[in-house]
Amino acid sequence: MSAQVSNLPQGAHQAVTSLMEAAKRIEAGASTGEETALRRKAREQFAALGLPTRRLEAWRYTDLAGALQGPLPPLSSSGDIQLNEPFKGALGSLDEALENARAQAGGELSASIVFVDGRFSAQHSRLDKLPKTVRLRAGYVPLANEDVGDGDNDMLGSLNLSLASDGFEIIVDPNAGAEAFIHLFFASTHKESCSMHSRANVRLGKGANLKLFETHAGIGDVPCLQTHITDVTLDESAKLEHACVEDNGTQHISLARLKARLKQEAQLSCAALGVGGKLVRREYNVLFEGGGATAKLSALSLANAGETRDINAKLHHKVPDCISDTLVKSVLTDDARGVFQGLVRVEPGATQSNGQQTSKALLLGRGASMNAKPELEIFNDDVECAHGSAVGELDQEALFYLRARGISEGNARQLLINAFLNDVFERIEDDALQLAVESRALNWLEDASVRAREA
Amino acid sequence: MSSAPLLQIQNLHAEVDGKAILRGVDLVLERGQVHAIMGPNGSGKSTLAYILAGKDGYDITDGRILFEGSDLAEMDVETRARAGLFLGFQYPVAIDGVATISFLKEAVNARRAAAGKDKLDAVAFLKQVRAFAAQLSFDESMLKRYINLGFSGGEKKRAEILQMLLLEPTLAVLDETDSGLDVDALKTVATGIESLRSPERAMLLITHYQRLLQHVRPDYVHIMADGNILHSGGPELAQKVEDGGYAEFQQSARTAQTAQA
Ligand SMILES: Nc1ncnc2c1ncn2[C@@H]1O[C@H](COP(=O)(O)OP(=O)(O)O)[C@@H](O)[C@H]1O
Ligand SMILES: [Mg+2]
Repeated sequence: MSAQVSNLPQGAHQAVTSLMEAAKRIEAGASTGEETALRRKAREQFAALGLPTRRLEAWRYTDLAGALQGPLPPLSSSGDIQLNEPFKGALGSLDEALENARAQAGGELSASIVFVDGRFSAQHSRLDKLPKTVRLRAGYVPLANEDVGDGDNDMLGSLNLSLASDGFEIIVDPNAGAEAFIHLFFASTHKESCSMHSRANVRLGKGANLKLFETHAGIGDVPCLQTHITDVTLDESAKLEHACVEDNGTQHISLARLKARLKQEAQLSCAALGVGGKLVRREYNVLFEGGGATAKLSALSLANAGETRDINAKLHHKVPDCISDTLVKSVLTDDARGVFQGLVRVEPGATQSNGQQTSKALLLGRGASMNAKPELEIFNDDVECAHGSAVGELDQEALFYLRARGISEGNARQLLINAFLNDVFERIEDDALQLAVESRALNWLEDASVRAREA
Repeated sequence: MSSAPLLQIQNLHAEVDGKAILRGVDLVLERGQVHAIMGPNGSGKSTLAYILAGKDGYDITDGRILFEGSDLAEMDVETRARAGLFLGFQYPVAIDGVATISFLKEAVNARRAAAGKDKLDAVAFLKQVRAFAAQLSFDESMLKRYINLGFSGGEKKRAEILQMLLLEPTLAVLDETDSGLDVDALKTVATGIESLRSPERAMLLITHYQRLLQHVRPDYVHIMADGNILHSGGPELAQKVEDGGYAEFQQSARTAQTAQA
């Protein structure tokens, strides 16, 4: 461990040291022998791996070590939970942000689970309308979830497992009739540098449906590292719709992963909007285990000066007749950076696979950059796979045309960016989820830095 | 209303991306007048239109343009449009993802706001759009489509006129609005243009055929070549161009230049 740590910049070194110390403490405080063993294994793995360097393919374009600027001790308890903190966004405070998110979710919300600084808050959560077919355990750490994907180089997995202090589990019974709609709210209210780590299990029985609306909201400019791993299993013909809005404080680093196993005919639909935070990285690891399953991933990366958005999507077609469809759209102002790495892997037996990956980026700043690397690994001929990526700027002719009709430059830019983003919104089937993602994205478009022409 | 002419172009020299195109254009449009500019391809007609609208890359190097007495160079593109200057594009721009109807609404309300008027409510706005669309035989279903995307040449030109009727400009500059139209479409479009003619407004019709001018009769016709107005006269000039082309005008201009020198 020491060799790797000592090569790091000082800030990253301090961050890793604080994380390792905390991991040891958590391991010592484990309540069962099993937990101790799991935590230790994870800690040792993290120690051996260290922070990912850019030599690792999955981190080639995102310099995590460079983004860590000092100790990030995990919060041991949330203490007094205050949600009435001023919020940087359009909303006055975090509790307004919470209420707004709930309102967007609409009347059919079955539950709203709130985490404050990484800890479950029963006080702010609402669990009373949950149907009987849905079993929820909030405020517990689901340690034993299996990894799908990252294998040996799984820094995020081992870091999260060694440090996770809270989480939840949702199990929806097979053939549960009504559709459950659950809201997850992660609020960051911390005043000092810290980190927070959570885990979740989501299991949908055969034919079950669930909508998950996940919002992350944070305040101020306090450095924070957040890791969150969601482990999803969809049984035969189950359907999960997941939408996530990450709207964190300016120095917040969020590393999230959603890994999913899909059985026969299962449907996974995920939309992610990264709109606030120094680094928002979201990984999807999808494993097709049953024929005829589909996964539709949509990501919207919106970033201003000094910010990075990173989408990493791995879709593993192990069985025949599955469809994966990934679309990433990025709008980057100033010197913002966008990353998309996609991998569609089709096994020899996975005939009739269909895998699409598209990345489109709009660069609004001279220093803005996009790295898109969609890849295919195909081991049979009977597939339909395509990938493409495009990087462009706002169409000056279109801008002139709109302005020549009296539309202000700012509004014209907004119209054109909105037009660029439109098809992502349209991919979100559920109206409430679509509205939530779209309204926050449009709100971002009103930012001065987005509307203004660069000098 | 000020007593200054609606538009005064004085000794206008302009370049496009550093290349000199207009070389001393003088032109005055009074309210109520319709002027036509004719000229061969490449003579600078569209350049003049873009200079009036304020397009990036089109720069005035000498002379000036006064709109209602104020220097046009001081106004940005959208300010000119809101003040009542309308450019009908020779090549209307297609914009993927922006619905025509929402664009029209935004444009109309921007112009109304500049005139100190309230936004039109959705119902009143739709009623107006539908009436003009019907007048121009512009299929209503087109309104839901993205701006000019996949429109035929004729549909694009009708859409330009529809925008003009909605925006009620005080000065309409129509750049080859007649090109690519069949006879019926030309009539429809001409009727649309004619319906906007009024004592408060002026129009500058840019064309190189006299077809349109048979339907919208101009008060004055100017012949442009090599970035300058070589000759001005009444509507009969258009017929002269139709009969003899531009060679005669260019020839006499050259003779005049030689005589000056
Ligand atoms: N963007 C441009 N860059 C350089 N030259 C241009 C540009 N646009 C037009 N021109 C030139 O300016 C001259 C006038 O063009 P234009 O105004 O389009 O003529 P017209 O409309 O009368 O056909 C032509 O020689 C044309 O090649
Ligand atoms: Mg032209």
